[in-house]
Amino acid sequence: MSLSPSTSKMLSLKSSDGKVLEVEEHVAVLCETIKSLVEDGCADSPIPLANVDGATLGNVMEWCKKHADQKASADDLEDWDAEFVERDQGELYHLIMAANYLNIKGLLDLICQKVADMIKGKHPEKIREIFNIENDFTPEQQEQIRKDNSWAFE
Amino acid sequence: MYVHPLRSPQHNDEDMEFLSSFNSLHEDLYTEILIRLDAKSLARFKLVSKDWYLFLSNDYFTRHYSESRPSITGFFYETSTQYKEKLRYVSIDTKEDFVIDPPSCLGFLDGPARLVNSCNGLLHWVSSWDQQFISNPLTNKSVALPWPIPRHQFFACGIAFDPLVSDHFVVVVLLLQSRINLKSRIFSSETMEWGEMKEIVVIPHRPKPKCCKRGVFLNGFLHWEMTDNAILVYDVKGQSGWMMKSPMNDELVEKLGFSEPGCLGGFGGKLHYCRVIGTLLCVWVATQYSSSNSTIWVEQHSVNLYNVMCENSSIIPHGSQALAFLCHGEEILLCVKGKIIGYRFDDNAVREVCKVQRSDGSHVEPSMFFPFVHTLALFNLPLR
Repeated sequence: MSLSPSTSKMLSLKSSDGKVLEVEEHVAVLCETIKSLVEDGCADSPIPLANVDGATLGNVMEWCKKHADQKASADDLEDWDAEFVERDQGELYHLIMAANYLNIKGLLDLICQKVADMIKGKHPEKIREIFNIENDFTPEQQEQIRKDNSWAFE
Repeated sequence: MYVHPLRSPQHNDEDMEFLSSFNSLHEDLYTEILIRLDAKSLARFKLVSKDWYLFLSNDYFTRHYSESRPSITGFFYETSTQYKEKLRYVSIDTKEDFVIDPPSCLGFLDGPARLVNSCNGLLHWVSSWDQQFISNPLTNKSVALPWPIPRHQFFACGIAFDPLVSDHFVVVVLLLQSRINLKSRIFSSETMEWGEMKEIVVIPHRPKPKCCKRGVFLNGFLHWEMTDNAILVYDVKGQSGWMMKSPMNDELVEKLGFSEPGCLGGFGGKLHYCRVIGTLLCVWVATQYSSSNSTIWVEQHSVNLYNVMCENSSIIPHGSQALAFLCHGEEILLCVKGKIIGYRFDDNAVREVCKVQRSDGSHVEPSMFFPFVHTLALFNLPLR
C-alpha cells in the first residue's frame, strides 16, 4: 500500500460531537491509531474518534498537515510549532488528550514541553491554581516538606 | 459560552465542570510533563499536594526522569594543574538550559574539596582534610562517607550508581593487604554502612590503577585501567574481581607509555575501549564479559582522524584523546587543543561541542574530565 502524497486518498474522520473532517490519508496516518486502522483495512467508513471533539481534531490535523509536508525544513517546523502551542490552557489540555489518544508522539512531546515550560520554577500555590488541586497538607506537614526542600525555595 | 476553566482563579459554580481539566490527566501524561522539569521545580512541587508528593517521591518517577535523558548532559573539568579544586562546568546537551556553577556544588562544605570521580550524576569529593562526600548538585543533597580505609592499604575506589535501576548507590573500595591480596569493601547508601571485607584476587606483579579513585561503572561492573596494560574488573553484585587484558598491543604500550587511561563504554551489555594512537582513533569491543583470560577484543573502528577532520573542519587532531562515548557508541567525544569535539562514526561528521579554558593554557586530558548527567539522584534522601 502506498502512502505517498501523490497517490494519497482522502479519509473521513468523525469527531465526538459528530463533525466529519476530510483529511488526506498521508496526513492522517501521522496518528498511529489511524495508521493501524488503515493498515488493517478498517478505514473505509468515516472513522469515529469518540474522544476528540471537532475543534481539537481540526487543530490536530492542522499540525499533522504541516508535519506531513516534506518540503518544510526543521527550522521552519520549529518556528511553526512554537506558534502552534501559543494557546490557552483549555486548548492545550484537549490537545494533550487528543495527541495521547491518537498516538502522535511528536505532538505529544511538543505540548508536554509547552506545559512544562509554563509551570517551570512556579510556586506550589500557582501549580495548585493551574491544575486545580486542593492543598491537603496540614500546616505542620507543609512546614516539614518546605524545610526538607528549603534549597528549592531560595 | 465556553468559559476557560483555568484562566482565572475566580470562578463561579457553572465553571466547576471545566475545572477538572489538567487535574484529570492520566498519570502517564503527568509523568511526560514533569520529567521535562529541573530538580528545583520538582522539589518545590512536592509541596503541591499529598498526591504530588507521593508521585514525585516515587522510584518510578525518578527512573523515568533518567530514561528520557542522554548518557551525558555536561561535564566538569579541572582548569588548573596546580589547583585541582578549581573546576568549570560545561553543558553539552542543548535541551538543558541549567548550567551548574561549580562552587555552588559544595554548599554542604565549609572548605574547598577536590572532585575525584563522577558516576551517572553523582560526584565524589575529597575535602582538604580528607573527608569523603558523594553529592548531586542538582538535588542539593550530599552524603558524608565514613572512611574506615587505612591509607597505606588503599588501592582503588569507584561509585556504582545506575539511576535506571535504583536511586541507591554503592561505593566500592579495593584494599591491598600483604602486598598481593586484593580485597574489597562496599558502602551502601541503603544501609549507610560499610560491609564486610571480601577477598577478590591475588595480584603478584603489583600493577597500579592509572586513576585509582575513578572506577568506571558500566554494565554492573567497575573498571580500572592498570599500568600493566590490563583492566581490573569488579562485579559489584557478585563482589568478585579479575584482571582482563586490554585490547592494546603490549609492545606498543611499552613504547608509547600511555599515562592517561583509554575511554571505556558499555552498550548492549558489551565493554568498549577507545584510544587515539597518534591520529588513529581505535575502538575495540570485548566479545565476552567473563573472568577467564580468554577475553577476545574485536576491532570495531579504526579511523584516521587526520583525514576525517581535514575534510570536515579546520581542527588538527594531533594530541587528541578520547573522553567519552555518546549515543550508545555512535559518537565519541575527543579533546583537542582547547576544544571538545564530537566525532560520529557512521557518517564521519565532526562537530565542535564546546571550548575548554585551562588557566595555564594546557589541554584537558581524560583524567581531568568528569562526565555529568542530570538525574534526580538523592532527591528523596531525608535531611539528617
